[in-house]
This record gives sequence, C-alpha cells and structure tokens, in this order.
Amino acid sequence: MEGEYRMNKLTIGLIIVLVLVGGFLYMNLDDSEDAEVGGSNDGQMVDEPVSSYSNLDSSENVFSEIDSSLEFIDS
Amino acid sequence: MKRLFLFFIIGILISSFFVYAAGVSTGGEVSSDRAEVRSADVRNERAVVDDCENVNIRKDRIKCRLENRPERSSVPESCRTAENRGRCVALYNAIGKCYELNARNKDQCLKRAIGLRAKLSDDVSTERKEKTRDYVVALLYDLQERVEKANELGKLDSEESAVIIEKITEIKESIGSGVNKMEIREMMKELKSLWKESIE
Repeated sequence: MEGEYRMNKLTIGLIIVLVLVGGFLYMNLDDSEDAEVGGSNDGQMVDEPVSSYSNLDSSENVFSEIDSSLEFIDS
Repeated sequence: MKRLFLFFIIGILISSFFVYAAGVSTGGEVSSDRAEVRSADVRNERAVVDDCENVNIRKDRIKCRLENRPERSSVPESCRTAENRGRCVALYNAIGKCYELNARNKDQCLKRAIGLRAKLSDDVSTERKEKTRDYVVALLYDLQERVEKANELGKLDSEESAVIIEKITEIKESIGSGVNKMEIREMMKELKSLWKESIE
C-alpha cells in the first residue's frame, strides 16, 4: 500500500516536472523569435517618455524622419 | 487506488483526443457543413494568393494583391530576394502590430521592436547601423500602408498604387542589400516625386 502511494506520488511529480520543462522550453522558443530582429540592446532600453519619439502622424513627417535617419545608415 | 489513477490517466488521454480532433476540423478535415464551407474558403483564398504569387512581373503581382486583397499573408515583396529571408520576414512580424498605433506611439513601438532609442543620435550601440536600416524599412512600410489605405478608400487606383509600392519595395530591397545612403537618397527623391504626382 505504501509502495503504491509512493509510485503515484512519483508519477504526479513526473507529470509536474514535464509540464514545467515544456512550459520553460515554449517560453524560450518564444523569446528567441523576438530576439531575431531586435538583437542585443546593450542594456540601453530605458523607459523614454513617448514625447521624445518622432510624430509619425502624416506622410510628410514620415518622409522627413526617413531623411534624418538616412544619416545613420552608413555609420 | 492504483486502478483509479490509471482510469484517470486514460480519461485524460481520451478527452485530449477529442480536443485534438476539434482543432483539426478548422483546417477542413472533418466533414461537417461548416468545416466544408471553411475548407472551400481556404481553398479559394489559397488560389487567389497562389495566382498573385505566380505573376512574374512585380508591379502586376502587387496590383493583383491590391485588387484581390488576400487575407492569407504571403512573403513580403521585399523579402523575396533578400539574402536572409528569415530575418527579413521576422522584421515584418515584429513591427506589424505597431501600424495600428498613431503618431509618437507608433514610433515608440517601431523603435522598441527594433531595439533603438528614441533619438538615433543618442544610440551608441554597435548595431546602430543595422538597426537604423531596419527602422527606415519600417518607415517605408508605413508609407506603403498609407498607399494601400488610399487605394482601399478609392482615392488611388490600383495601377498608381502599384507603381508607388513597387518603388517603395525597390528602396527597401536596396537598404537590405547594403546600398549606401547617397543612392538611397536618390531613390527617395524619385519616390517623393511619384508621391506628389499621385497622392498630394
């Protein structure tokens, strides 16, 4: 009886471990997909206020943002 | 107790089979009426996508997509010839949700997805050059979205829209293949004049 109880505990423990490992692997896969484009941020991603970002509300502003960004594509 | 536990496990296995079967039905494998209709929709959708994808001339391919508006996404036009197609597609996937936002929130979303700071001049990372190229591609995609919207609203016909989107695609491809800023600026001038002629 005690042996049976121990075996059931072992099976439940095994299922929990499998679920945890599965969850961990799934989350890891998800992270690796995100990392493909952003790459390393060198720890620079601080919370900058939204007002410091460019206003992309019109095509003129988008053209102007492209113009100023082109300065940095070769350096 | 052991037998009860065994029944419990078998029960879970049997119910998971039914859940699996329900999932497959959305792909059109189960012969219910609804599944058949869905399956026919998927087939038609696939036919439209395939028809457009098989058009050899780029401008006509873009025009085909504009006119048929397939819901199923294909490989983005500028990624078709990209050296690293996977990375190119991943960029579009990463920034896709940002176009639902407006103004500064859109820029914040794009820059965060790419891994840039608010002001490019403040960015001192070793990958700034590459990230800036991604950012300019993202901005060009924003212009493309505006053309598609104008077409959808009937403000721009498919031919004019396709000409502008083809130019945008050319620029995106050039940026991806490492063309220098002087050449990109020249191409941008051509895009601006097309834009003025058709949209403004």
